[in-house]
Amino acid sequence: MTERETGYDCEKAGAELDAFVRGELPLEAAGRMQAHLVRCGHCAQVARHEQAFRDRLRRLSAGCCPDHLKAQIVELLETAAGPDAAT
Amino acid sequence: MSAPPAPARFGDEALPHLDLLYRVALRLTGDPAAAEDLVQDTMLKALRAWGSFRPGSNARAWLVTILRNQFINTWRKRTRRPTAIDLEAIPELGDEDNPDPEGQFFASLVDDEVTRALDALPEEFRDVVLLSDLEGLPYQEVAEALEIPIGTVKSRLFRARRILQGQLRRYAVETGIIRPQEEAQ
Repeated sequence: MTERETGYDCEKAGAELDAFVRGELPLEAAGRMQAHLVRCGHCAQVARHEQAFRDRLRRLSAGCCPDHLKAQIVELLETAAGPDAAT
Repeated sequence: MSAPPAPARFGDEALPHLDLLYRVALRLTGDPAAAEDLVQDTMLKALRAWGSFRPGSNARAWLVTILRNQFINTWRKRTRRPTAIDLEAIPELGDEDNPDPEGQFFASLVDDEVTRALDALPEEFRDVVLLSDLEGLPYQEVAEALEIPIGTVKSRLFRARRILQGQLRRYAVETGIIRPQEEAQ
């Protein structure tokens, strides 16, 4: 079916864009969005903008729990669970 | 009837999320030593509350809820944060003013500036961005972790992202990363 037939327009695409960029749209809806983005330069540009922003924010999420803290926590849990606890 | 979770399983469920918990704790406290203490406190508290954890539900969101509550109840009093900006006082930039509509400038921004803009958001807005955009949790888990409806997650995300984008775009223009529309012609 065409977008005209389904009534899928920029407004509807805009409402689903965030979920699409996050990969949270169900398969069928994601396919509908992709087809829309191929046809609509404006929405495609907005999608690229939102993706660029999300990529930048994700780069802030670097780093791991320090090894010494992991070891302390494992020890803490073993102590808290008591000597009879299953491991 | 399902059996209550066995104590030994706590580690299996909780330990894989230590990296995420530490990153969130670091973001909340802004201090590595405080983040370590907060993660330890969270794990102890979670262990004590393990009996109330429903098997099959989301351990990651459950742990983040405990960590955040622990932070609010105990740690926030000890740590200083910059004063949050007044969201209403910030004009959103319209698309017509945007010299970089595809947001390529975002990649050129330094971490400090993005972090500053993020930290200046009111807590309830910053936390959805932190969990959703930085840590990649799906809407449902963010809603569970923050104990708010999924619709609230989406609306806060939308508003927070618009504010952040406006702040960062303004910074990028001020520092010459991008040129204002009229000069870009």
